[in-house]
Amino acid sequence: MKQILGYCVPWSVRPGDRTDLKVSAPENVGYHLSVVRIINPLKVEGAPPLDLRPMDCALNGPHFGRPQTNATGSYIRINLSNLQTSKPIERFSIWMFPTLQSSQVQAIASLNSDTSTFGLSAFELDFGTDRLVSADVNIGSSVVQVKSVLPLKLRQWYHIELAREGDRVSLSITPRDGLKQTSHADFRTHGNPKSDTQKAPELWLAAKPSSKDAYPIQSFNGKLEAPMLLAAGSEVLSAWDFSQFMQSDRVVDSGPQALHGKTFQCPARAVTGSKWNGDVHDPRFCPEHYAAIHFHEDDLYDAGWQTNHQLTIPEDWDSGAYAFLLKLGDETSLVPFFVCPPKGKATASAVFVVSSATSIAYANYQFHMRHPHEESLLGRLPVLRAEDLFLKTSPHLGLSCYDLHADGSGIRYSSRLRPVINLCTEHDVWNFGADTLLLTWLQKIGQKVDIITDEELHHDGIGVLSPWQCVIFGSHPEYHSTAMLDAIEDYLGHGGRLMYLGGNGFYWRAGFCEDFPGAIEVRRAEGGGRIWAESPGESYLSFTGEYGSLWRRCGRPPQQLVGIGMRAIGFDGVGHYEFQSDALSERARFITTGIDTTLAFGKTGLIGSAAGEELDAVDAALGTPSHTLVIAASRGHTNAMQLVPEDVLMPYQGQNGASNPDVRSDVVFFETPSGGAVFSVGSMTWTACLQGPDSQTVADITRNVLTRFVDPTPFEWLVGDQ
Amino acid sequence: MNRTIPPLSLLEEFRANPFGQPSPELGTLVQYLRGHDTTGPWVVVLDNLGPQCRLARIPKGRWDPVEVEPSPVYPSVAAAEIVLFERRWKEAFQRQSA
Repeated sequence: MKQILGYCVPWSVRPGDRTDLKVSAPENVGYHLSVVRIINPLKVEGAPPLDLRPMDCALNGPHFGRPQTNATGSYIRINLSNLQTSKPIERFSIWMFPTLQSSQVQAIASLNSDTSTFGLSAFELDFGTDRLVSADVNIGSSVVQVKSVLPLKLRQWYHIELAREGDRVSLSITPRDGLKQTSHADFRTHGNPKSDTQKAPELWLAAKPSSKDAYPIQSFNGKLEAPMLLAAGSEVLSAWDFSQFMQSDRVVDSGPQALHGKTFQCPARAVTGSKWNGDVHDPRFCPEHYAAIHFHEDDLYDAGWQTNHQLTIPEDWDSGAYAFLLKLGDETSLVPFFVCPPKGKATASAVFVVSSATSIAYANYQFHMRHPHEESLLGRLPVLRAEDLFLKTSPHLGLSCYDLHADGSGIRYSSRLRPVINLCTEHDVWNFGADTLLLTWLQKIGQKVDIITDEELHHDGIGVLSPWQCVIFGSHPEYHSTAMLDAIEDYLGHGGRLMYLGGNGFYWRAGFCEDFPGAIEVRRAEGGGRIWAESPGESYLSFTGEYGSLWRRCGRPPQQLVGIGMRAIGFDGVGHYEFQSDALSERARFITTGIDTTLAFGKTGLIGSAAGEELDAVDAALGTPSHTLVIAASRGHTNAMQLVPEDVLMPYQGQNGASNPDVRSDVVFFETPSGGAVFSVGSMTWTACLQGPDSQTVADITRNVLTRFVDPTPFEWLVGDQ
Repeated sequence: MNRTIPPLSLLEEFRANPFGQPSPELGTLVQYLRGHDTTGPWVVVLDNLGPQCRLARIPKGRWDPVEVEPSPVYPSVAAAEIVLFERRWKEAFQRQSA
């Protein structure tokens, strides 16, 4: 359906840096590439006209396509070239926790070694469509199959042992909490031998190599733990310990030969293993309870496409949002990237932070097509477009942290090393799409801004924001790492000014990891509006070892940082703002200058009310500073707008916007002790009301605040808490 | 399904405004019909940039294509919402009254 698409690595670059573009297009079919500056990528009724400005670039022009694709599914690969043993391999054992009965055979392990033809030199151990475990073992030039008798239960731990002693091959399966079943080989042969001396001696876990190109096939869904290879006399040749280096792709062999391996496509680590009994919830305190890895057939970290084009950012390009614009016939595909200013240097008084972590969390999101109650959540039918239909049939593009794996477990890892269809489309006023409306408006009013992304905020950390008078967050900065929050707090502590022009911000903790650049990890423990709940005992991020939940559950609620925090969610677009008595405060005069504060505002915008989708409000108990001024609050919501679950606890009638005054967005302002200030609007649709017939007050407020926030004159600290 | 047949005024209310705050009676009915519809989940698929659209069903198969009704083509999402509401009403109450 979609013939041309691509992605670039990385998303954010500085002048002199390079980004690599990977494109898939039909073989030898011509396509046109042009590099553009994104002013407005949206073709939406009421939005400014589409505005993609061509850049002078040697890459611009016609090119010929070649198709690219990729597999999904995580697995482990271990090179056994250096396996030294005087005795043949006699046994292979592993713990297994299957989570999906699939219509395809799933590979548990696949061994191809050249140690001896007398032992388990080559075998394939599978979990069948009938939930039986079977092994095909090479015996000389024949293959012997042995199969379990009873089907295994899903989500139960089993210890599996495959052994060859003399002329007998046996397969023993012992439930952690049950009786052993053992099968013996019947020496049925299959003709041609399976051993392949052309293949490198390897052990694969959770997938097997295709015979043609060592592509992973028959991915396993479930957990595996403690694979071991033993020689006669129970001599341990290799014993892989998944509890070590959980934050990485390393698979450590704690046996004598240190035949270490590697994970591919980022399976879940820091997950409960066969020994977990509920006593410990933090893997750091009892790693042996977390010696498992959870594999999924739809895990995808790196699509691994070949690079077609390389772009080195010219020194004279302004900081901003850019894209590779790919055209094939009538079809276009936009691959955005972000040019940051030189490190440590501001080229404008304000900087806009692209919420790339949030975009990665939502990458190729399909929740709206898969959740059985989506219509009720939205208060209307979900609306799909061509991109959605394409994603629905494109498993190779992977899913988002809002989707479920095939086995029903939540997706914790998401990456930008793949085409991200929904990062920037012509119609999607969401995340970066909604932010482009802000960037367009800033350009319209003549306010130059620099651009950085979350990744600079995370990697450069404290001090990264110091060159700017004002930092602006857009419509939905939902995911942040500890380092990102540290950088923001440090900035505010040194007199910085922060404009938060969105909703549901600073909500979930996200983990970044040096071993997996471009990926984030999310664990959804305890509470929060969430598509899936974390599995028992698996609330800590493998990437960082940190507790993975709402920031509110980590002692850093957004109310402490920006005055407001997530309160309600609803998508019918109904509501408006009314000024509150604090708007008359002398401290707020710069915000309301030129505005009639007796009038309601923000009733209609590009996608409904200026107070819409996800709303934030003040909460003193969660840390809203006591001197916070509530400039305006939203009203007129319907029963489609509901309180978030963390504020409900015990279900009760009247959790919706039609009956509950707590269901609202608060527009707030407060000063910080060191001459800085914070302004927050608490609505995801604020930026979509900056332009259009009912935009005047939203635009005036935003401009008034921005004008003052880029003025270096310190704010006075007259009242308030330390 | 077993529910008292609602007054036709609720059908008219939905037709007049399928979005926004419904009356309490219509709000309850809408949720009832959504909750008891076993033929979905339903979605609207826009033709290009819209507003023309079609009703479609999400299939059970994980990677199966969305089942888009070839016709009719509706002039707006609201029109598609009304048609689906009418279908659900018919399914829930006409059979019951028969």
